[in-house]
Amino acid sequence: MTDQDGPGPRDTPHGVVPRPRRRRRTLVVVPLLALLAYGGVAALASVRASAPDPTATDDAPVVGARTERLAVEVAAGPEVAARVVLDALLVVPDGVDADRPAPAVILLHGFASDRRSQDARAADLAADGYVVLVPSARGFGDSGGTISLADPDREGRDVVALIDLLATRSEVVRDGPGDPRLALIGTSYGGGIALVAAALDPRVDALVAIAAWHDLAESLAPDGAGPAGRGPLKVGWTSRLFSARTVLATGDGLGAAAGVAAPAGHDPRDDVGLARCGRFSPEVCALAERAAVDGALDVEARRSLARASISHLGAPRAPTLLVHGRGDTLFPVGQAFANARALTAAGTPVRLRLIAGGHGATGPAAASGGIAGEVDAWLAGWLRGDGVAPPANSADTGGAAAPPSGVAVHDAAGRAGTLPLPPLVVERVLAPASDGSLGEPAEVPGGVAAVALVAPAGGQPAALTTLPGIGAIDGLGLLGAGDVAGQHVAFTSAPLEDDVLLAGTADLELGVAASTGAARLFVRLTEVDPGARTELIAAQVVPVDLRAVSVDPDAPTRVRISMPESVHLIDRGNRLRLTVATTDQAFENLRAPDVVLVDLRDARLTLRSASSANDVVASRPVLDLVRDAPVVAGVALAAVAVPALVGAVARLRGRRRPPLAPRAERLALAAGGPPPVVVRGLEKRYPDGTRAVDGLDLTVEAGQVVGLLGPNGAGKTTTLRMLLGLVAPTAGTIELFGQRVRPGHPVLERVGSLVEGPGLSPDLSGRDNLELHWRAGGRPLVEAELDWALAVADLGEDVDRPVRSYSHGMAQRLAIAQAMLGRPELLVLDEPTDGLDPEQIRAMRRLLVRLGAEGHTVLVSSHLLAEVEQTCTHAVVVLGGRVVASGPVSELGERARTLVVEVDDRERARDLVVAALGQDAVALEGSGIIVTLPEPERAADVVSLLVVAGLRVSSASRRGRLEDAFLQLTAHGVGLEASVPAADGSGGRG
Amino acid sequence: MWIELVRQSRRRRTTVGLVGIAAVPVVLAVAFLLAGAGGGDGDGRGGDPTGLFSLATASGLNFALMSTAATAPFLLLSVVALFAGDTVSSEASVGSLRSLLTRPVPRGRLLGRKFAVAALLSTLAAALVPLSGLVAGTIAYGWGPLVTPFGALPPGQGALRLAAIAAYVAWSSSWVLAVAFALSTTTDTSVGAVAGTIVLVIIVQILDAITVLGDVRTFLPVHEGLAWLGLLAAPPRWADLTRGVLLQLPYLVAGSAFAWWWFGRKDVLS
Repeated sequence: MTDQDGPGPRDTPHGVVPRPRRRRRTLVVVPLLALLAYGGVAALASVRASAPDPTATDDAPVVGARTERLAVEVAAGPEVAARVVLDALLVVPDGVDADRPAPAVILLHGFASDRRSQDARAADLAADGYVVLVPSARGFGDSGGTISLADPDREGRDVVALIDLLATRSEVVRDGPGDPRLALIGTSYGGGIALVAAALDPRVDALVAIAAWHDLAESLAPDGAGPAGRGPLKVGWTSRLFSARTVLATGDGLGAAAGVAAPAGHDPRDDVGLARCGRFSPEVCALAERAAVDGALDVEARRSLARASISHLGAPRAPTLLVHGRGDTLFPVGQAFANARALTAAGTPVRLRLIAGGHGATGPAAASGGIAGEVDAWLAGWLRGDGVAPPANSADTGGAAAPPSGVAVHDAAGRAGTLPLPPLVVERVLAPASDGSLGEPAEVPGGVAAVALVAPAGGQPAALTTLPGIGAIDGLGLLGAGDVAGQHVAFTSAPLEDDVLLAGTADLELGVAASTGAARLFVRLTEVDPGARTELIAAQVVPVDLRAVSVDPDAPTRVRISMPESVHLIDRGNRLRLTVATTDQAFENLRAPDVVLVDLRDARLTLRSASSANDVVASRPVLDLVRDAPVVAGVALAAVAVPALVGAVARLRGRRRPPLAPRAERLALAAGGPPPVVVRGLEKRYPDGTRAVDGLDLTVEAGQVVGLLGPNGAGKTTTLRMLLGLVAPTAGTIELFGQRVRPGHPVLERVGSLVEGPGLSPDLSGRDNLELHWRAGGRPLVEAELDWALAVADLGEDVDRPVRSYSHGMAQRLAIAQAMLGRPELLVLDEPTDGLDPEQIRAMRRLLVRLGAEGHTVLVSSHLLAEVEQTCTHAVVVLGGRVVASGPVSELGERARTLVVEVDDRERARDLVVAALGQDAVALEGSGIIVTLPEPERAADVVSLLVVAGLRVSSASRRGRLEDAFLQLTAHGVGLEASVPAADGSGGRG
Repeated sequence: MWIELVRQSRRRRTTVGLVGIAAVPVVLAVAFLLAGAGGGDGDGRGGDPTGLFSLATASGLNFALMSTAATAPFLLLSVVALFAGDTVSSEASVGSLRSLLTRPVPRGRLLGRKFAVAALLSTLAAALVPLSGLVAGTIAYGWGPLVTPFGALPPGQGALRLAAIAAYVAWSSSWVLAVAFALSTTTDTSVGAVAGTIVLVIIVQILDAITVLGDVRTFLPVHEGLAWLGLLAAPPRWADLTRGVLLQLPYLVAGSAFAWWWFGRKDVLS
């Protein structure tokens, strides 16, 4: 990865982190297998004795990274001046440097191996952008020193020294001075060291321990009935572990043993110690020898081994991923559970991923490549996540979220879940009976209740159940495998009706008597399928060392045997089998011949299982105040915000208003109060400079029906909009019923309006439009007088159809009805007759007249003179945003001083009138003349004058001031449709 | 507010929007069944960055999660833009806004009702996707644990996480709600407000994809759009989620503040 092809760096609060390259990881459980193969050729190939040579070039180059061989000098032990040199390889990805540092990972290899076993994993991690440090543990590979079995003061301190080294490297991100951001990954022996080191050094930020022990003594010498580490030794495993000294011997020693000439200066006497202890420290060597002789661990050995446990050192706080094989026969899966419990108790985030296989198993372990992704996710989540990570954006990371804590359960059926730590389980109690059944305690048959088992002299022959390096041998079909007749008893359940997920420990209680007073039993649980194939659950045989039992068969000693945790799914239809035997090949057996009586009275097997395979519950304590602080804050916020929100919503529903008074009362009140409409100096200028209304004054008294007359564009509609609060005036005041109007002012409740065409919701029916319009004002529907309004609309059945299907006239009538909802005191109607047919126009006029008569105030705008003349009591003529004329229609329209006469010879008629009344009194117009009378009464005189003169008068009519005003507008060239005889506009008016 | 809800819910675009988005998981389920897709291991190969598509057939919960993930980046935002962008402008375009404004209700309160209803409908749309996905997925693939790239969650907890994810996704669309609402108050053409918002969403997403913009991107409202992935981890990763939640606030406040300021002084001429 070069600067060019890699994505650019990103600033984080802790420095600059190069983005991991997205690629498919190919890691299989190489480190795990490396341990398993410790007795084989792989270990031989790694034997080295020379001190690390910084110039050595035998390390394969890592693609996309630069490597650096380091010789790290550490103290040989506590309070010892001697130094030990560790061989380590540092892998720094290309693109990572002091300016763009990355988190680091220390990879710790397994037993009887060295750092080269980690090459593939190191390359993968480097490709993901991590700085990787791979040491050989002391006593392994090219590192000096001797093996102390993860002694905190030796192997543990070695890792602390390596962390110190990383703290000095500028390529590594630091969380603080001297505190590099790093993870430890260890497999098996390396996993044990990783746990020890993380317990010693709080700088560790994440931890992955694969197939690691919790307590070495307990693992090597388990006891189902006594203190940990005091049971019979796992002789097979122990001898194989310590016999590794031959292949662990130095190259010189091995060479000598193989007959190769020793180099000059080599002292053959060293080979004595070498051959006996290999590269083990003298203490460990002595311990192993004593254990091999005794078939058990002595006090000193137990104490020594127990030091390398987090239960002794205190649990690390670094988030820990434990990966463990369910079928591990060296470190039983219960060891991983014990680690998980200790870490959980300390509040450390833990995830336990169980995989198939484990130490001593073949095949399945290699197939569980899924853990690579799990490990990557854990590193990404805890090294790059949590605030310092790039946001969980798909383009940036592979979802750098730390996986959940708990036990990840993946069974063969593909079901997956996360079990809590400790598991929440239900107990099932089963009773083993002498007829070989394992059933409900209530159903135990009577009869003989004890079984006698032979313990053979010398402990042979012994049952063959597990083999180091192979694991449980069920189903392998090995000749001679299995139990020995007379030395075991088995109890088998009926086929299970449901899947059972065993999760947790199991207990067995029974009575034991032995003629020698001491007995050794081996207990195991097996799943048996209908084809009689068996699977040893968790690959565990639980040895029970009973050193003082009753010798009296009639009064057996009651013993309680604890079987370590397992996570195992028993499929429905299969059976569960409990086997109790006196011998097992894998363990040290008692030599003295004996007959052990197993008493089954009140014998009980207690299993702990998840209540059903699907019922895997989450692993969190109810509420952890620190970790769940965001939740707590959220809840607190919700506690405040929800009532506030509910209150706000309640306000949005509108305040309850007092009920409307009866209509007559309201009208009377309006009649006695301030005028319904008072407009003073109203102005509206739009931003583009248009002056729509320019100093308009208007007063409408209660009970008046006022026509606002003017051509299109005169400012009528804008005035009405301002009246209703739809448009803000630039200047001037508007008062409705004495109150200055603002948008949404409560006084609008007394106003019904229709402005510029019907404003209806097309998707709603006519009825719904009216109902919702009324209720939007916060009033109950009963006050709307909806039926009356619907009668006004006169829509019949169509009222329930969506408005979008209405004709313009229908919509107009509905809009008028909408304005009349609640029979408001003031009606503001803009061009109400627009779109109506003549019959409906007449009905409309009658309605307005009647409303006026009842005391309602109506302000109606129109460009039709006739409409105003026939409907209104008062008229206001508007032009150019100003009132040009106003007054009662009767007054405006009274037969005033203007007379229009149509004659056959209008020039002569004009001359006659000019002679009688003067030059200014007459003008030509159309087919006649217009006469301005000195007094209204003189009209008859003018007509008779013309008739007497012999002119043929076809018509004579008077015209009011209203018409004059209109005609003036016509003269201004404004397209006004006056219902007056057509004027040619060329008359001599001006 | 109830009245506003009734008004909006009877509108055709509301029905179309809700039914449309609820149908997406059903369509996906049919497509999955026809294609025989799914059954992967969530490793995020092949245009499936979250790994959720390959896990979609693990259970009904997984299918619901996949449906949510599929609709969250664009479709849901579009529906929210429709509900919020259309709310004022469409009333203005048909003229019913002026009828409404002549009622004795202050404009701010009226706008509050409209905003609340738009938010409610958007939330409903966001909730319908996982619900519909859960029903369709449970019919097709059964009820079971929620399998994630990090492990698996038992059904009860998985359902809770799914609900939380749906809530986060819904909240993450609130900036669109605010922007569309603000645009809606400025125009009388609802298409303008809705389409304008969608174009803005696309622009913001393009900007977010341009990595050279560096820190600027982290303030884009869609930047934490996938932070809900943190809810699949246990314990949930709160850092990005919290940031994602807070990130919406400035856009929400600015958008609504503009809407109120503008609408309060607007001359209603339509």
